[in-house]
Order: sequence, then structure tokens, then C-alpha cells
Amino acid sequence: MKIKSVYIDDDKAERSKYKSRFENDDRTKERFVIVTYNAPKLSDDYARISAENPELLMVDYDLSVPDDNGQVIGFQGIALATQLRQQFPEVPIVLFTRKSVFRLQDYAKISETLSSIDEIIYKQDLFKIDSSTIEKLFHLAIGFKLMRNQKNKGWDELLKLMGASQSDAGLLKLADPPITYRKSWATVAVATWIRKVIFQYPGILYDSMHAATFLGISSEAFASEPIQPLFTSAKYSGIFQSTEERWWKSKLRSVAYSIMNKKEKGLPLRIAFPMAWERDRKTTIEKAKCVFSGEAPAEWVCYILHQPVMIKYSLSYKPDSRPAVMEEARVSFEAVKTSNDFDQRLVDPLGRELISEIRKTPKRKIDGE
Amino acid sequence: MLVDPAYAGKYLAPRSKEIILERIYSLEKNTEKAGKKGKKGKRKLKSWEFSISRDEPLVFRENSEKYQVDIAGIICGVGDDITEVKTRLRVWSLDEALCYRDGIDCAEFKNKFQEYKKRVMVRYHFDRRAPSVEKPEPIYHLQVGGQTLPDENCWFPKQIEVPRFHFPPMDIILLCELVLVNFFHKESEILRKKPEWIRLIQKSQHIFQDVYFTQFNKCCVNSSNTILGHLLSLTPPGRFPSDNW
Repeated sequence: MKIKSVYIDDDKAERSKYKSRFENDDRTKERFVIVTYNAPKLSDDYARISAENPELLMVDYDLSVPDDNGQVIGFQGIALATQLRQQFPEVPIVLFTRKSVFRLQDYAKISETLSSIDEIIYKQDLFKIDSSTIEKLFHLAIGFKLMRNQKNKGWDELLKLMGASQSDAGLLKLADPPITYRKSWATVAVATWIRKVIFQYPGILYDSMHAATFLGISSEAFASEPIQPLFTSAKYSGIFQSTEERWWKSKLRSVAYSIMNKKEKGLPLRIAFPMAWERDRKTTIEKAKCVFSGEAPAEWVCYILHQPVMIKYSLSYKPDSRPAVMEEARVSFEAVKTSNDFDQRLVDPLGRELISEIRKTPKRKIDGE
Repeated sequence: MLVDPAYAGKYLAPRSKEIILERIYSLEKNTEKAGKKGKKGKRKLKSWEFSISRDEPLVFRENSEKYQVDIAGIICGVGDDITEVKTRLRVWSLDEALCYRDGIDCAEFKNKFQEYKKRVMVRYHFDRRAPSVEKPEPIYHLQVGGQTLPDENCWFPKQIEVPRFHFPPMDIILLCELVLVNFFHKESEILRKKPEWIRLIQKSQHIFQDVYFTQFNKCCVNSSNTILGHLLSLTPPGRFPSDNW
């Protein structure tokens, strides 16, 4: 499946360079067809882009180079993206730029202006040998394509595209989907919801650290050869899947239950799964150790350090406005003590009272240290 | 914390979250006024009140055993002194088999159950003795039963107003912990481990129970009377005036 992609850049040399790279790199040549355009200025220019029926739009940020007639578009790639979004409401738009000209932090207070951008990809990252950016770009385009091509665009069709089970459907409904009963979805809004809400916040899907901690084991143990095949069926394989794998929480639970005996099923999962595994395989498995105390199995994942932590050694943190159905963000005492990323304004008043005490608390001794 | 969206839906019945928020707002307004400086620059110790109406109590969700608990009460104070504590906890059953006993309860009651779908099985009052009361009541006490309301479908004979058990003061927060521990034990395990939750409970313990238990201990070692005797004889003008113990 090849993705028809329009790449808009005011710099002729850049257009030529990246078209060539897309056409010659083994990872892209069979997946993308690149058509390049200078920044559109007239309605005819937009019409020509439209005639391409693009499936992916890549827009440069800095559009200040005059064209052959000495004309400059007069606005940046972000404004152009907004214009393109009106014309292509179901096509993903990627800001394709250099780190030196576009700094995301400059938009921290006006992030709404980026709402027409589905992804930001830095030119210098795309073709790196060990980069997963190409995969990300491809799955973004494929996800939009599958949604666009769907005849009926209702809730049930969306669940099918995501590969969600009935029990997950209930939770997904609680995650504020931008889709109303009996109405068709708006592709961009739903795509953004899946990628920026369902993927981003733990609760319905888990990344590998959350999945491992949920099962009571270390992320290394979770990634290991004997464990991974067991949970293959729990892996997310719906639209927008990318190299950063995710697992359905509900399916992790049911797979874990499948190896437990009656007694183990009555225990908390994070205790029962390692116990069942060790009994079944007659081998030990590394548990999820708290980053602060070394106790195991830890129940949560520290929002800042992305390490397991015991609830009793963590504080509630409010870095975002995630739906209530998602697991709350918590920061470990370790992050409170050591991380420059910790912002105490994001802790609720009760937690804030504890910060000075936490900073004075010595780190608990971890076994083997 | 209970009004945090992550917990409100899990433990509280609809509307209860709003009730708490309204009451907190009202208390904040109340204490703001109380904190203003008087003419001589001294902070006036004004009276304050926190109440959850008996007519619109804080209702928890039905638990897995078909019990539903609600809490109401009034707590008053002047400055840091607690002058009145009257809290009530009711346990409703929504289980027909428990609410209506075939062959024992009358048909009229069955009709009533069909209408209300629930029945109060037990109610507890955690009160501080009012200054005007002449009956033998420990300064802080627990009474089971109390005055029945029509929709409760229960019968606690008015004549049996005793016993009054001596019991530590319980505010709304401490009662919430009691409800979670007893009616949502497993579900609330994670919440109850959280340092913020523990701190919240500790604050209430500090405000309502620290002095009580300190003085209670003194009663234990005071050979002039029994513990109950001490608690009965205490006159409560202020918070816990130690001279009276």
C-alpha cells in the first residue's frame, strides 16, 4: 500500500532532496509516493494540490523564500496547515521542519494554533538509521486512510477499527470520545482522540512500562522472550499502531488470569501473576520494584521518572486534563527529591503540604544496594 | 479527594459531589468572614458551621452487598474550638430479601418497600453532648437508632434512647474513611494508601481526636473516677478544656 504524499516547501533544493530520499530509502520507497509543491499562493495552486488527491500532506514551517516571481507566501507553515485542513479535512497534515527553525516550546502558551497539525516531524530525524519516525508517519497516513474509507462512520465501526472488545467499549465511551450517538465521526477529531488521549494516557491501553507494572513484573521481564509471546493477543493492533507498542489492559488481565489457579485469582493481579508464572514455569521472575523504596511489586508508574513506584511513596500530579477514566498521574517521592522536571504547582494542596517532608526523607534502602 | 473525578464516580452517588463542593464553598466563605480583623487589629474569633443537611445527605453508591450508606451532620465551632458535633450515618439495604421478611413483616410494609426500594437497617449518631442536656451522656458518644423518618421504613423505638457509648469525635471526613473501610474495603484499598488521603484523615484526626485521646488517656490513669464517669461529668463549654477532666 503506497501513500500519495504531497510535500510543500518553498525551498527547491529541499524539495528535491527529500523527494529523492523518499524514493531511494528502502523503508520509504515502497510506502510513499512523493509529489512536491512550492508554497501555494493562488487558488490555482490549491486546486493543483487538490487534484493530486493526497493521502498525506507534509508542510515546511519556514516559508520565507521567494518563488521564481519574487513572491512570498506571507505566512508560516502552521497557518498554511490551517488553510489546508479546511480543504482536506480527512487528510493528515505533518509539519516537516528543522529543529533550528521550529521550537515547540515557543508554542507552549498558544498550542491551540497547532491544532491543524497532526504530527511534527523533524527533517534531520526522519531518515536516521535507528529512527522509528518513518513507521510513525506511515501508520498515521494509513490510520487516516482507513478512517476516511470507512463507509459508515459510527461508534461501532470505530471500535472495529481499533480492535476494541465489548468491555473496552464501555471504558472508551467514558474517555470523552468526540463522537455523538447516531452521527458520523469527524476524522481529524477522532484520530486526535485516539492518538492524544487513548494512546497517551494509561488506563485503557498501556505502554510496556505500565503493562509490566500492572502485571507486577519489571519492564525487562515483560520484554523478555518467554513473557512476550504469552501476551501477543493483548497487543493493540488497531489503527494508528506504531513502533511504540501498546497493550489492552483488559486483555492483559484475561491472559494473566488464564495461567492462574483459583487461589491466585483471588489475589491482586500484580501479586498473583508473578506467583502464577513462577509456579507454572518453575522459574523466578523479576518483580516491579519501587523506584523509591525498592519494595515489590509496585502498583503505579511515576509520571516523571517512568519507573514503578509504590502508591504510598507517590503524590497525585495534575500535568494534563486527562479523562477521569484514565489512571491518575502520580509522581514518586524519588522524582520529588531529585528531578528538575518536578513542578510542585501541579500537586494538589494536600500533597504540597507533604513536599518538604518528602525532601527530608532518606531514600529507602533497595535490596542489593 | 472524594470529589476528585477519579473517585467521585466510584464512591459517591450522583449529586453528592456537588453537595460537598457547595458545603466546602459555604464553609470557606464562612471562615473568611471569621478571619477578618476587628477594630483593634485582633482577629475576631467568629463562629463557623459546616453542615450537610439530613434532607440532602452525602450519599455513597450502592456497594457490592447492596448496602447504601449516607452521611449528614452539623459541626460548629468558634475559632479553633469545636462547639457542636452531630453527625449521622445511615446504612440502607437495597436487597429485598433483607428488607422484607416474608411471614414476619406485614403486607403494608411490602407495599412501602415496592415504593421506596430500600430500607434503613441501622443508623448511628456520633454526637457531642449539648450544654443543655441533662441526661447522662459522655461528652462524645455514639447512639444507635434515633428518631425515624418516614421514608426510612424502619423502626427504632423512641423510648429506647440508650445506650450512649463513649466514642471519639467523628467529623464528615473521618466518617467517609469509616464508610470506605467498611463498605468499599477492597475497592478503596488504593485510595487509602495514598499519602494525600492519609494526610487528609490525619488532619481531621488532629482537629477532632488528638485532644480527645490525650485527655482520654489521662482519664485512664486518674484513679478518682472511672473513664465513663469522667466523660459523663465533663461540662463542655469549649473544645476540650483540660481543667474539666
